[in-house]
Amino acid sequence: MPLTSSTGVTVADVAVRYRLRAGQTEAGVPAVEHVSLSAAPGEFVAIVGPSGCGKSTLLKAIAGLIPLSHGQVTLGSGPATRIGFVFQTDALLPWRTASGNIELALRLAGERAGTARLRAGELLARVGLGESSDKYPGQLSGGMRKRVALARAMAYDPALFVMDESFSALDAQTRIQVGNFFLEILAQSGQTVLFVTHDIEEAVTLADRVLVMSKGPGRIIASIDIKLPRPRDYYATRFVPGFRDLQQSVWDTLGYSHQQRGPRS
Amino acid sequence: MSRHAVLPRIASVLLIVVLLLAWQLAGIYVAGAKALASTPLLVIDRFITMAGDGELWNNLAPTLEETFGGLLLGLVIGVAGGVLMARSRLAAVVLDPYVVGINGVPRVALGPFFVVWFGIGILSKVLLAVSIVFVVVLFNTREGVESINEDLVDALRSMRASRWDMLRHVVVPSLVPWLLASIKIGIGLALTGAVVGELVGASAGLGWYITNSLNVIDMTGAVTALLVMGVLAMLMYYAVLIIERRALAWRNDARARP
Repeated sequence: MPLTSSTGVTVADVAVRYRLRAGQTEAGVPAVEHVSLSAAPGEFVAIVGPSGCGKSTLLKAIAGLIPLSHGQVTLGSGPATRIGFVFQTDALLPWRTASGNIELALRLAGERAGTARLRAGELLARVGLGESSDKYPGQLSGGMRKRVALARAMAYDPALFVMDESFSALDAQTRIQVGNFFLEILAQSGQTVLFVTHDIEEAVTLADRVLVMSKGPGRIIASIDIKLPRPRDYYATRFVPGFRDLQQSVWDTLGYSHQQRGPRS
Repeated sequence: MSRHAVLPRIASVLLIVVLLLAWQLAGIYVAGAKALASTPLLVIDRFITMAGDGELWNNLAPTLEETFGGLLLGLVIGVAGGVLMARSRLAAVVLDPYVVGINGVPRVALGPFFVVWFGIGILSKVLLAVSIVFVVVLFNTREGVESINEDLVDALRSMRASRWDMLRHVVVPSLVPWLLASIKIGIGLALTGAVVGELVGASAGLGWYITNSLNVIDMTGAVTALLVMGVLAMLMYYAVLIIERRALAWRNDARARP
């Protein structure tokens, strides 16, 4: 297993505007505006915010899937930096087997067919799916598909994981299992992570730092350091002393407080 | 095959036997029925004669050529048009009223025009079949392109897939189920176009054989040609079904899961 060198990310004053109509000349509807953030190599940065604040748009812009209207994204080791994008859905090709999906990622990364086949087998064994390598995604459960999707992202050998609500479609138990599995991978290979979620507990559990975004058009309104010990556990870390205070401080920046019900005016 | 599938199949075969028997008995016992609809035994007899003296093949071949030609050309034009209209807003806006208009016209009414314009040979029948087939393919392809899963596109783009890789691994496999559905419907439509063209004006073909037989009040000949068409359409349909089962194994396997 090659040890990946992780990379830092710098996002400088980025804006993304959606055009209402093709050929429209006006500026369009802003999804995110004046967003600046950075992640150090190996850092786990979670981004939380209300729905519709442009979190997903921001991630796609950082990954180069949609064009920036303004600003700049710099990836540590240049534009050739490999990104492992993990979506909310598993985004596996339904007409390729578990192994076939991972092999494709390896082939796109320049591996030869024979090597890709072998590596795919290794990766599936590592995510506990060695037996299922010839099954199609439709034959696998949601948790298994997510593990294949993670294995595919790993296969691409990314320096940066970009994750968009990657675990939110899983049931509670599967989420713990897959979440811990992901934490183990990171502990071994140390990639940088940008992790969008609407689940504040999950953000505090996983991240070194939580960024809070405002309602749309989204901006970063707070950055909270999560100084909890590692290794973390997707479930047990929630009972570590100090966890509730950190969770509370994230809620506070979103405008909620435990003394009052409802938003603070 | 599971036990559940066997009984309905036996019933299906039995139904054919019952229908054929009823037809044969009607021909024997109902006055005038034989003159109006012939009988199964006469038809089988004629079929064997036609197969023996080459008349079957002489009329089957042109109809097959027209049907396949129309289906193939209809697929090409339909897929090209569907992709164009799904990907280009301009093309969609400009072409939409025409496609809807063409779809509204009963294309069989074009048969006489096509025979006048393109002659009594194969070309007029192929074009008539195309005019019927391509619209269905176009609608299906357009829907197929528009329903491509964006997450799959993003996933491959995030891995820096080339346009060719995207086409090969996402676009084409996404369209295969839609294309197969188009072909299944298209077979019957292409055959309709070919035969209508032959009824209007031709010098060979199953449609021509029907008109020709009826002109000399040869009911057995007409019915034989009609049944050959039915069997032909059925065989082509099942051939596509077999292809589909192989091409969409990933979907069938997933559906078989309890």
